[in-house]
Amino acid sequence: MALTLTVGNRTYNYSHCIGTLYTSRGGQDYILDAKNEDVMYVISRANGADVAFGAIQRWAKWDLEKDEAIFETSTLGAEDGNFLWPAGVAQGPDGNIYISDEYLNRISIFSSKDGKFLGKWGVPGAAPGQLGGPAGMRFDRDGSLYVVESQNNRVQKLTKDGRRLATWGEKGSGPGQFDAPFGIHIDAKGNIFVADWGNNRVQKFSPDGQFILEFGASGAGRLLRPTGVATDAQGDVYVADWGNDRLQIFDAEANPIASVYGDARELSKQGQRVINANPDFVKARRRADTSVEWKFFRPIAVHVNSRNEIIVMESLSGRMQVYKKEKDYVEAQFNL
Amino acid sequence: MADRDIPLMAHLMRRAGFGASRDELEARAKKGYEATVEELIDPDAHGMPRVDILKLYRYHPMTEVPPNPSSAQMNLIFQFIQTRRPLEEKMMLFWHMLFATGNSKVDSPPDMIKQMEILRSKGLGNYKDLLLVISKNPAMLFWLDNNQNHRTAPNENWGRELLELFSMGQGHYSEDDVKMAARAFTGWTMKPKLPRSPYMRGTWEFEYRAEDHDDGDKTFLGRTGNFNGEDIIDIIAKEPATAQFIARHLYNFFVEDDVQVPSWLDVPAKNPKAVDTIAKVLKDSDYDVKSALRFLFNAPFFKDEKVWFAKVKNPTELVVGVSRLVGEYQERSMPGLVQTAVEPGYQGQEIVNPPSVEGWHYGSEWIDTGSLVRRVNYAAEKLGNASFPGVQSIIDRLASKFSLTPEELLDGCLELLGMIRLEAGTRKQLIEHVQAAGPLKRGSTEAQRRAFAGRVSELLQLIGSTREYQFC
Repeated sequence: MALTLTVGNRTYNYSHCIGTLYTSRGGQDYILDAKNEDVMYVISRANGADVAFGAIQRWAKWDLEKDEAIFETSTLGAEDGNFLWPAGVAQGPDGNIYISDEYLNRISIFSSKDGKFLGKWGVPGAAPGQLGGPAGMRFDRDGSLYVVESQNNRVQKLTKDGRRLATWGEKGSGPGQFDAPFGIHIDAKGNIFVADWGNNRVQKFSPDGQFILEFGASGAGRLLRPTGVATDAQGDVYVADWGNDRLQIFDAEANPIASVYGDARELSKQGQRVINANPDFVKARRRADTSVEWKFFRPIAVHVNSRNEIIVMESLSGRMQVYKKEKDYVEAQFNL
Repeated sequence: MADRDIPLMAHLMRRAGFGASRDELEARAKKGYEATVEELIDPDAHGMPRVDILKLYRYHPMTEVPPNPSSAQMNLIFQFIQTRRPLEEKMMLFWHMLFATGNSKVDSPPDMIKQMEILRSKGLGNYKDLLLVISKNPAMLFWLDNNQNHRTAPNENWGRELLELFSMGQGHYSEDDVKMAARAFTGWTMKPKLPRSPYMRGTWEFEYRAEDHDDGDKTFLGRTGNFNGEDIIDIIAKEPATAQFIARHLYNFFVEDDVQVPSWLDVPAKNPKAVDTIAKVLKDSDYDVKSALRFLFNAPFFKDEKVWFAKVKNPTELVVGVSRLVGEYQERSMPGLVQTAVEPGYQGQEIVNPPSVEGWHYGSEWIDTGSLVRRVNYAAEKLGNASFPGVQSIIDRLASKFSLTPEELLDGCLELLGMIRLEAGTRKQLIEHVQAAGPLKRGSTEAQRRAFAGRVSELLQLIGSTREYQFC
């Protein structure tokens, strides 16, 4: 895999990477701060156990430039402000951070300034308005929260304090049906993309939940248990193809364009700090083949920022790889 | 269906699997004993699906590259509980108990999981092939110091255990054979490994270093030549002791508890004739494990009622058997999976971390005052919990019977728990216990239903606490 991938008139340049395993063991999702894209909120589940044996569930506010935590907190348990299976994170119009718990069936709310626990809502169940396995979440422009439910196999549109506005979906593999769906994305036009994990596809819906199209279940760009979706300003769709360890890119009409497998040949700032702290690591890395770590390791969430940078979070390496997309790329007209 | 079909099927499923519910036993008995054996030994040919492991990794991400033994145990226990190919998992356990490799030294749960996957995928294949793959498995190489076995400075650890514990057994080779085997395996090592920090990508890969291999002639078990590791395995496989040793292990694991391995040289097998015939099948089939197991499970010595309930369940069998029966983690995983995963360790069998290369001592040695309390508590707690679907189903089936004496209630519970047998004394005590609590009423009100469920689950708990429940 080259550090630069050119397909048609699009070029994807690998830029840099962020974080380490210690940033987010078993990372699940992240969201860029609405006001400062160089800050993110990241959640991780470790091994999803209810007793700590080593790594545990955490969430953190992270500075992407410095590649270090602004704050981070360990959160194992069912008490207020803690998690068993954190799954999705979203930022509300109030700036607060909303984190879903796929096992405790609740949404917890935290201050984005200092991480203070502000409240929670959610009643477990399958009735409209109740929650069954809340996973991916995004707010739309109007401040409504869309929650994907992996156990109830549906999407709910809720107010930020959990009152139900709309519900759609059921278990199945037909249009508008789901099998353990995971991530969600809302594009600039308000269309909703859902990573339909168990059905190996992405479904696109209108803002009011009408099925528009599905892709990834067959043919080129076939997905395996996709987890996250993002779109860019040109309408291209990026899918975290978790099961295939790649980023799958589609155009706005859902035609596959390219597959990206990861190119992180150098360490992140954070990673370099970890290595520098232990001379044995430095020596061992000189002897070993590092190419295996260039690749994505369970890419799980993806966002595109306003600089057209595609940021892919890898669940198992706790790292993010950043690509920069150049649109309207034209081959040089002279001999370089 | 003959009267003996279901109890015999229950015996097969306790040994070749982790036990089975009454419904499963009925379905299997209808299909037939031999057909069930075929399905168990060749799950691929019978379309039995593998566990959808991505369903574990989605909800428990770090179990895919476990940072600690408990996460590795979650990975394994999930597959034990969900599998529809139980003999494949039992054979993985069998080989793990034989090729015992411990994370206490290896210190890399992801490498341990890789080794376990070899034991799973090749455990029902050919023993010779498996022995060769295990000889190249980095966790094993590191565990037995073969990465320090050099042309100029041989290390005999791997060569010794290969002969003593993994193939022929004590008494069938000389000290010189150990030294020659060690020389033949010089240069078998692993590539430099990427440290697991910062991205958890570092697992070992095998590497053969020709420059570190001793190319001189070696005399091994009476043959002389410039042997490499593959030649040693070929020669070992030709020795009658090898087939005998593996056959005795199979008999010990599946039929009757033997004395501990270090005593095998002095104490004959419990059923030498049976071991001889299994060894012959192994030899005649060039070490095809499926052929040996097909023979074993269909043999009169296996079906003989004298060997039913004659083996002490190992902790993994006990824990997984109970979990499968009560139906936990069948629909989906839950955060409590870790508690189930570490339970066999608390009972004395810490998977991926045996106490030494000799593996765990088995049979009655599984039971001591500490482990017995844990075993009883574990079974009683799960079997007495009516919120588990498997327990609820037992209650529902008993509640649907028209009339139920205390004897019938006990027999019903024993049947539904998988055809458990009790000794007369235990049976009498349990019946008296049921009688003492007053007449059994089922009724239709919520309170009556709850009371009946309470009586049943209490009796299930008591059965789970009996001496007899410790056997399979």
